[in-house]
Amino acid sequence: MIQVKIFGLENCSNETRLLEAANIEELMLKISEGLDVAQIDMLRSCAVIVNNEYIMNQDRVKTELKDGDDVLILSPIIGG
Amino acid sequence: MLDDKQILRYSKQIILKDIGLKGQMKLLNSKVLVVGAGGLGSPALFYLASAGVGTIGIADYDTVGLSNLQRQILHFTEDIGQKKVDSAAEKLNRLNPDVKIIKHLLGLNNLNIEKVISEYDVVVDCTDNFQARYLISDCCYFLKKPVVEGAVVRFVGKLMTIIPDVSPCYRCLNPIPPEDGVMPSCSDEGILGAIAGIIGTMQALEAIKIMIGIGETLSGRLLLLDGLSMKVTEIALPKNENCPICGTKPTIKELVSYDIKYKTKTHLVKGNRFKAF
Repeated sequence: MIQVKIFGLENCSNETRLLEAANIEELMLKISEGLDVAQIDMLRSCAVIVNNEYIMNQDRVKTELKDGDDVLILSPIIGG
Repeated sequence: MLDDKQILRYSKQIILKDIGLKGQMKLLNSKVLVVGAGGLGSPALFYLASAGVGTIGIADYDTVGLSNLQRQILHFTEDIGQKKVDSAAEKLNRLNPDVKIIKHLLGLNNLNIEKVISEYDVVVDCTDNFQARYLISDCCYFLKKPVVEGAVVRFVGKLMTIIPDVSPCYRCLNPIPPEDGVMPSCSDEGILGAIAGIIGTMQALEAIKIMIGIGETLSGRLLLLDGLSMKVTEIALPKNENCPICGTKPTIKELVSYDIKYKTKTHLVKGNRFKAF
């Protein structure tokens, strides 16, 4: 199981959730279930950190996940 | 040296062993720039001024509006229509005449930002848009100035302190801005004033610690606040070696000016649809 925490995305709980996914792209698709198009667009703009390491956008498909990985998804909130 | 009135004014913080007379002198000799005199800037400016930071710059081009007052506590009802820098400076001068307030009535851009920031020791980012956040972080990286970066939306807030070359910068987290039309603009999203109050106040605290040189800042740590569940999460943030500005192979060598198109959204209020103001 992958431990996932999402922060700052509207209507998306920031409770830690446990998901199965082979890579980041697959994980994103699982999280996208139940979200509307606008939210999915926003999800794709989030920073992704796996086990304390940033995953650049272009590396999301090839970044494989394994049991016990810790994934943090941060929405780029900007309000002031 | 401090005069008798100053010793009395700051006595509650001078008696703190981490501050003392020496720390107070450091504050009085420090210069801080607060960019944005809105929801975050208001509490940040109040506490920076009351603590006796000697020179406070305020950069903002905006005017006070009625919908600002729910969270931008530096501005009062009678200030509607005034420039925020004027409204803010007037309150802060009344609060603490020791403090020299410098008003920068302008929108920072890639041509003017270096000149403004180079005058200050610390920058507090209280802005509400991507353009300004990238510009401030990039410029402070080039000028090697610390930045206290805060952001809020709805019931959530985040905070991090950027010490150039030591901690991750704004681009480490978000290397490039989101695509056009994806993110709603700040004015399209809701925010509860108290959330901005908490994060803005924490920004002032971080800036004060940097100026005096005490404690442990949020350098390399990201603090996330969820006000609805009142949960605070802290995340250790590494530097991003692929960061286009402070990574191992930087590709950005000069300031970049973005023109980001935000997603527009309509709201339903009392049955009437209107475009967000």
